[in-house]
Amino acid sequence: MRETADLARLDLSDEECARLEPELDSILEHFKALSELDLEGVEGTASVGLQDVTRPDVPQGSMDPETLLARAPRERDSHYQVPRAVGGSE
Amino acid sequence: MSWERDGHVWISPQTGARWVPTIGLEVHAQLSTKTKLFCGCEVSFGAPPNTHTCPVCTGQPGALPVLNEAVLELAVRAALALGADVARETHFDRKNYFYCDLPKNFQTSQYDHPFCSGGGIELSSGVFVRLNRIHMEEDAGKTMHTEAGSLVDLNRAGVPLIESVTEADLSSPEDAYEYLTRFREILQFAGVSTADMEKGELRCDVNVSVRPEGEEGLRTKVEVKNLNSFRHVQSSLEHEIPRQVAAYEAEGAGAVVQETRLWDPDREETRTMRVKEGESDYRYFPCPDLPELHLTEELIESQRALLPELPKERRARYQSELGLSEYDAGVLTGSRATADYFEEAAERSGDPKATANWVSNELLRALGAGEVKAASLAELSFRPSDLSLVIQKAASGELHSKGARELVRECLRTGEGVEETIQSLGLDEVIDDSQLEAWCEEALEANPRVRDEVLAGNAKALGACIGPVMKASGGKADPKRITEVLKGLIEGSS
Repeated sequence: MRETADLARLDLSDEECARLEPELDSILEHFKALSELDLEGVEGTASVGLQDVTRPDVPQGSMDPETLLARAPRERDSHYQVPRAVGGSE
Repeated sequence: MSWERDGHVWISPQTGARWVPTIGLEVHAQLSTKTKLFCGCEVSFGAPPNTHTCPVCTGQPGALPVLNEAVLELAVRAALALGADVARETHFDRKNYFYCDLPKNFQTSQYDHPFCSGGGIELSSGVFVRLNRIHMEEDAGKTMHTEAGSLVDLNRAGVPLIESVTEADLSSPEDAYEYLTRFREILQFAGVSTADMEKGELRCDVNVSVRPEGEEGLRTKVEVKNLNSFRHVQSSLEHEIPRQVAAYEAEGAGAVVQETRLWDPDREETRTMRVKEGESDYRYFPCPDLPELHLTEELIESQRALLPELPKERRARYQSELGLSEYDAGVLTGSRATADYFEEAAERSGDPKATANWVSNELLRALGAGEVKAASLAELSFRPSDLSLVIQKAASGELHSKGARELVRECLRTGEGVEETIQSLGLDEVIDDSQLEAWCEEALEANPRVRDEVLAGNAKALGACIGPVMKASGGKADPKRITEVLKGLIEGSS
């Protein structure tokens, strides 16, 4: 729980962790249903149904930045403003 | 303290021990598309912040990505140019991590089924640097860190990249520099990427470890980032290799930890950025929004047909067929624009050597010195047909060499055509021999010692008279013709 929270940059208190742990467990429990399926002889796949969907390389026009920036918690000089984060980029 | 090197071996100044570095490179190159990888936003450089964004590339809930077909085409062409094997089936995966430049909280990338594998580049030393894989992925946004917080511009988010990963086949900073040079020219010649490092279109991370010469297996590798030029790649290695050796020698095994270090070009040192997240932390899984892809024979063959002759082959041909030196062949294949310009002009003029001299001595010089406003020869208004005309006129004697050079410089400066410039410079004015003789006689009278010296066998003394005659003719006389006339006058009078 703690590791998952860290990876998501969530600062959870011990109480929150204690409360969320059984909730997460019960979510994972639901997925166990999948592992009961008999997949003998079924090949793995990354997607079902559609294949090879592409679009032409033609500009479609972007959105008015103000519309998108208005949804951000904070904006500054037409940028999304977030708490200072140095040294974690990929 | 200076480090002595013996080939690829670094000799510790402390202990005299012999250490060998092992280097691998990860290179991100931006594909030259008009739009982003999964949305119709235009790819732009230097546009006002967040003006090229939409619900897809800003990661709005419910937005669905659709793959740009040009990305597949360019990626396949890059793979072919690098001699890699294109997979027939591939798909995108999500690489999950949380950072403010990544609006979806995952990067759409490729994990266990990259679109190609293998291939590589041969260095001049004969070492073949193998590519492990190349995959497609999207770029993240750009972050600016200020006192008030981090400011994010998502114009770059979703721009298509290919990431190529070499095997650890490189063993010196110079190898790394050469590999990158070759890699960039292949992408440029193939028309896959303009690979302009100043625009961030080519980015490189280095993986490096050191071990005592003869030791089996590799020691802990360190990743170095923030390398904004090929020079930075080379210098960072020149500092990181001794740093690791010194650490092992001072603290023994375990002194070097697996981490990511940042290169600081001002201080010329690498420093710890973070201890690397393990691969499992990224929790890769196939992206459910992007259907599987089949790379068909038609797609692959259509891209193979678009592959031009690559720089290495061109260099060989320039030497074997056109008789150019290795150096000239190297200069002329410095970029696709230069090579294409040269080939067209050489074909038209029928004189590859003269063309090579003009392109490198005048055109590339003017470009490098900023005398013309053009990023490459492709942008010059002075076309290959203009250059071949000048070369032909010089060969036929219509222009003397000094006049031809002046003509080319004036054409580059003004953007005017060759014939107009010949007229405006007066290079078409014929100087008759009697006028030339009169100037030559004047010059000989003004410099009486020249006659004696020439008669005494010092032909070089004529030089003192050529300048004054050139000046008298307004620069239009042919220095070769002046020499002939002067000689004739001196010999006739003896």
